[in-house]
Amino acid sequence: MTRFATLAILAASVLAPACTDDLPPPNTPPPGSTSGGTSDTFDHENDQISPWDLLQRIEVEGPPSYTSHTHSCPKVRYSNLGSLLTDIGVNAANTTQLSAGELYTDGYNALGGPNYANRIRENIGITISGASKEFDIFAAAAPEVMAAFTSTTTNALQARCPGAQLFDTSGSVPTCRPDGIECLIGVPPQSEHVDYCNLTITNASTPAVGQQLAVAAILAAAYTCE
Amino acid sequence: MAKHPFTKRDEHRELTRRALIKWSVAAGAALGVSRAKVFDILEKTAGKDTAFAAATNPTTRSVHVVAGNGGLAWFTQFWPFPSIAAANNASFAWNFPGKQVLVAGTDKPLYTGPVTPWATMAATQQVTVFQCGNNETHTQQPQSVVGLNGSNIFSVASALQSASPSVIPLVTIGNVDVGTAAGAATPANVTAATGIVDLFNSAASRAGGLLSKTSDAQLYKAHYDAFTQLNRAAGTSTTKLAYTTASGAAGFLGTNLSAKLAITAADNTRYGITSTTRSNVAAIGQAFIIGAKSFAMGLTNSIVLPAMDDDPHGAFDGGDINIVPQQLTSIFNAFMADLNGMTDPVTMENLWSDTVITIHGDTHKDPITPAGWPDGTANNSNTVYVYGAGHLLSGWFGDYTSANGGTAVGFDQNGAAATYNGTNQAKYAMAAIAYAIAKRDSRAISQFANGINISGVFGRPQTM
Repeated sequence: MTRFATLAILAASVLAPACTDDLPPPNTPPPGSTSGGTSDTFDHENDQISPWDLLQRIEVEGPPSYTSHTHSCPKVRYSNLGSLLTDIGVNAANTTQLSAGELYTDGYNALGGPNYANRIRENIGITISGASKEFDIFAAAAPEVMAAFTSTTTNALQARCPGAQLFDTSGSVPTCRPDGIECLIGVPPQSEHVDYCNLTITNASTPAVGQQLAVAAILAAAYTCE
Repeated sequence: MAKHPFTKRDEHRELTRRALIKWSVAAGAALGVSRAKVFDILEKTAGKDTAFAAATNPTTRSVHVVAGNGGLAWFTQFWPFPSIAAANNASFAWNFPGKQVLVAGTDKPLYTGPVTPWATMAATQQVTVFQCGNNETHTQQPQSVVGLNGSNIFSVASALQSASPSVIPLVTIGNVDVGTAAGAATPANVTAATGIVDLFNSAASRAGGLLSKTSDAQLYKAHYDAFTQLNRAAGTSTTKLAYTTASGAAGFLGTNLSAKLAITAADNTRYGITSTTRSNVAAIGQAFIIGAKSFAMGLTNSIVLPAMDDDPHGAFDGGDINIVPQQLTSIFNAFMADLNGMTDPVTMENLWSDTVITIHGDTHKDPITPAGWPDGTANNSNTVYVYGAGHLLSGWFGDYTSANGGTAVGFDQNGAAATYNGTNQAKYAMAAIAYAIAKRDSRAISQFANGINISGVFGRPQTM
């Protein structure tokens, strides 16, 4: 050990008790608190993320660099929403007042479409205004979507999902069919999808309204994120 | 002029701060931390200024009053021409000689009178007035006081505000003209202020719509939430915030806003609107009442409304000058009080500091001739009044004197007095309005301002 280190230890051993003598009496903060008392220290917020929770989350979901790519939730881009509407049998160019096509065309700004002229990129975040406008379009589109399933003329939806039907109307109350839901959401539905869909029909003010509500809610939930 | 090293340093620092904000918000989203929490953390680590910059809206909201067909003349009783007020001459078209007060602390001269609204606000918050544009007597759609290098300032405002999405970005009432600007929103037009209420209702929530019944709207929201839970990624930290927002939107979709936006008796009382209020004054009040509520709910960014439209030649002769300005004052004061009492849903600040108000018209009429209050103005001049929410220098740029039977005083690009040039001065004025709406962001307005410098000349410099 060097002479300097020896001197440092010696000085510390002498000075430490002296310092300790000057310390105020211990002040144990109450559980969950970060202050000694309301009159002397500031009780700042202490609910940061637990590192253990964070570790567990990373183990389940993967690191942020991975999960932000695979599980991020950007809004459906304006042009893609138009393509989607066309694919499910909606006339996106419809100019009839309050039709899905008219809401889509007039909703460009509310949907956060790109403003290239002003060098503002498309807003990819989900906002109340954008999401509500998108859901409004789906609600207005529901009758068109239902008609596309049953139409006798071939349309984009039938070309994509030949033979699929959304509702079984043979009973007194229509029931939902998995093949139709699959056509709407693009993946095989779970049994809960069908159950919720049927519940929507039975709990609505009328079965006819319930069918439209089911279509609107299924589309909104499936296409909240791109 | 070459930039000062301190300016360069500040600009660089601002870019760095933006990068920090961008990174922090993105990282917070990735970790499932709420935006509010991110702002808390930013405040602790990078300081209040950075947290404030992260939380704030990039633009203000705006209300544009177009007082056509001589209606602008009423506003000369709010904020008189400095030389006319100072002359203290009872024969001029200023109804309160001897009662004018020179506001202390404004950047340029500004007089107020007994009916001036917002008179108690701080000097830095007082209005900015530009003597600019041309006399366009008897039109409801003046052009010389709204143009900025080929664009219309109302459309420029909506283009700038597109950085803050809202349900309907730009609402117009009546036959006001909002012209065009690159990237501007398409205006939603209603014939009267009360029509705005229906404008914001979703198609689904309107009468006969899919969600017009409350029970169906509630069912839709509940089942939307249920369906989203079937998405495997819906429970991950990275999508939590987005789905929470979307769930709120699903609830919003079925909300009929009529009750929340409709004008109540209490609103009318607050604004002083009674059966004796002139209908054109009450119409402004109705637009203000619904406008303030719409801003508070984040439904729109900008409202353009017509005003007065009454060509008051006989105001002094018939005594209306003792009635109408007082009624207008009550409405303007109540509007500002409403804004002051409402919170911006994004910034959580009072709306009065987040709203720019402009007043345009075709002619301010002859300030030195009350009899018949003629339309003609010296040098063919015009006026624009701006409440810049503290972003602009306060007081008058330009003036109107009684010299030689009336002389309009102009200003140059440095804000100094100059020979009247309505076209150039209007450009400076409109660029200044854009600057205030962009919250002093010179870069944001550059493509419209086209080289006009506002910071430090007509507007307060951006603070770091």
